[in-house]
Amino acid sequence: MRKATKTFVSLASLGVLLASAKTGLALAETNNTLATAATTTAAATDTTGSTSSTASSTAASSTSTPASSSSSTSTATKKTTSTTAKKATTRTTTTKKTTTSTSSSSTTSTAASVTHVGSTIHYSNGPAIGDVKLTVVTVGSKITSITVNIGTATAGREAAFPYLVSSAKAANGTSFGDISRATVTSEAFKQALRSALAN
Amino acid sequence: MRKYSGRSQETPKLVNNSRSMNQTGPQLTLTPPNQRVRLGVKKWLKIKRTQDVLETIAWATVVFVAAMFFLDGGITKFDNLTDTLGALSRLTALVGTDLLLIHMLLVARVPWLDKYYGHDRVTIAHKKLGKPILYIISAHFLFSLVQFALQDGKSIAAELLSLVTTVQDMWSATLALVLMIVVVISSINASRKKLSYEAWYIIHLLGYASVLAAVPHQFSTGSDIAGKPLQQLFWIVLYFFVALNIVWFRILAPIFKNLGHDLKVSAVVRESSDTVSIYLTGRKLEKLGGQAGQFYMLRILNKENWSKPHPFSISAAPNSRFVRFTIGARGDFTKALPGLKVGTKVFLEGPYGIFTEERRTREKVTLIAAGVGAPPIRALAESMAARPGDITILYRVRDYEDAALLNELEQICRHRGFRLHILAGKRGQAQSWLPEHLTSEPDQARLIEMAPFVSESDVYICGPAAWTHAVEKTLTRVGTPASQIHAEEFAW
Repeated sequence: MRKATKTFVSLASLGVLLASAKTGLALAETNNTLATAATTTAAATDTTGSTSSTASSTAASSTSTPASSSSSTSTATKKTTSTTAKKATTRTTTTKKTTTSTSSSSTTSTAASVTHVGSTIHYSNGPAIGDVKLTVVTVGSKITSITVNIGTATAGREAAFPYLVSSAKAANGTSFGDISRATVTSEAFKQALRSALAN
Repeated sequence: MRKYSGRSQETPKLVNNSRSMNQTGPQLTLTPPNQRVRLGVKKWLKIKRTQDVLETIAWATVVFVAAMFFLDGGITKFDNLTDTLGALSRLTALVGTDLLLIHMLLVARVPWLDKYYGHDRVTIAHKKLGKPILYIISAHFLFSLVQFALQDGKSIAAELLSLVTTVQDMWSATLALVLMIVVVISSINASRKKLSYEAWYIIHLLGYASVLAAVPHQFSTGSDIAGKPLQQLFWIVLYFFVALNIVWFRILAPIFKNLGHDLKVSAVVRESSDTVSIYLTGRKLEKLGGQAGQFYMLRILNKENWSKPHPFSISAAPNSRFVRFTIGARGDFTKALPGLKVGTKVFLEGPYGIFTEERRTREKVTLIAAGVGAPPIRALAESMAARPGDITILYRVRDYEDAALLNELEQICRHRGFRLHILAGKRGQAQSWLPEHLTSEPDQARLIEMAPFVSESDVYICGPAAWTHAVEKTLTRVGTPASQIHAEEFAW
């Protein structure tokens, strides 16, 4: 390579590497916040919406505002559902509907929403040992919620489950990469997901 | 860009007075020289530009895999020891595999690389990459092993055993590393001296097995490919591109070419006490291609030699009647050549090399040969486009009476009006490339005396490596730019 080209190429590649590292860092941070937000929402309303958690929480708050006179959230939800029936559906209400159906999945379910309970997958492959059992809620062919009923792993690999849940939802299935250092756990998770979806 | 035409010439018969062995060679007729050639600095710039593009693409693949790793959040994994090891293991694996594929492409004898770099430089690059790749891949192995062992609290040995026996495709990946270590050890200089070429070659073929054995674990357990469409596409395209180039240019293309031409030995002629010329004939030789100054890998298809290719330059410009190699007796194979039977089938791979007029940018040319380096110089003198006086030839031989192709060079020079200087005699001082009786003056003074236009001409040098370097040094002293000096390294 000639000197000028070499200088140009090395500067350009340095730039690309720095930019990608920075973007990667930023992306990882957003993912972390998302995951945290998702867990918080899940704890509060047992919900993790298919859209971003911020959207679902906004939806939830907008639900509670008009129904502030009512005491419990569940009544509020019912009220909105009835409103939906009466009035034309808006974008927010659709999101709400999904959210609602997910939260009330154990008791009632809307026509499109289906709950799948998977069987317990026991895995003991090499360095990793554990059990995975998942409950999956789908609307049509879309996975809207994944609950890890049982999720055990060795050497701190339990930490992989939130990532696996968000990856599975993003991929809407099992076609996502294994998490490094938790390859076997990831594979078991995928197996559990398949078993749940088959039910 | 300047162009000019050489004077058109009738082709005279050359008297062949070489001592015949099995039978006399075909009556030697000169092939008409090239009528025109592109000259000028733009030609050189074009080559340089293409080289830059090719190198940038190669480098870009490395940057791409690293950048994708970082985009995936690779850099966030450096907060504790095991995570750091894991991230390093992934990064070294990605970069190492990418370099390994480039390394394999370099030895596939692809014409689009040969054309811009020459077989010698491509092979040298392949050699240089070997060890670093092994270090990078071994680092990947060690990083991931230590990382897993720390995580599971096992000893390294126990962890290795459990990984190999239980994790998918890990046994073949480990085998691949072992094979790679064997290949590299067999290729370092110390072991190359002890191993025969054939043994080394067979061990080297294990390199392909090593790469194949390593592929599955990258796709099944690697967390940088599965489920990532862009990376998946990149790796699949890269693997297929390299595989197709190897299969086509290394295996299929030479086979088709040889089936079409059906080459046979038609004569074996003694040229000097230790040199023989081998004439080949076959079908449609005008379609064989190639240029003066290029070489073929020659396999003689008899029981002892079919598996051993040897590189030889053609010693006459490509023509429709014969292909000729002039070969000095240097090793076991070349010493047995005078006994070669007429009619023996041969297999040619090539032509390769850029020691040709493709590299010429100036009107004047100086051709410098020593001993066994004469064949390509002889072919270039025959085929280069030139007017009388454009080309000066220096031929360094030990013994005037026993110089291969000298008679032919003399006749070409007489006919085409070139200057020829025979530098006969024993070796002089250690640093000099001239014979003893000429070392009273510095080499550069002698060179300018013999080839007055040397600093503004293209210089083609062919001879033993140390001698070639001595000539190059003198050329630099007389002011010939490096871009005008052409020498082929014997890199096999």
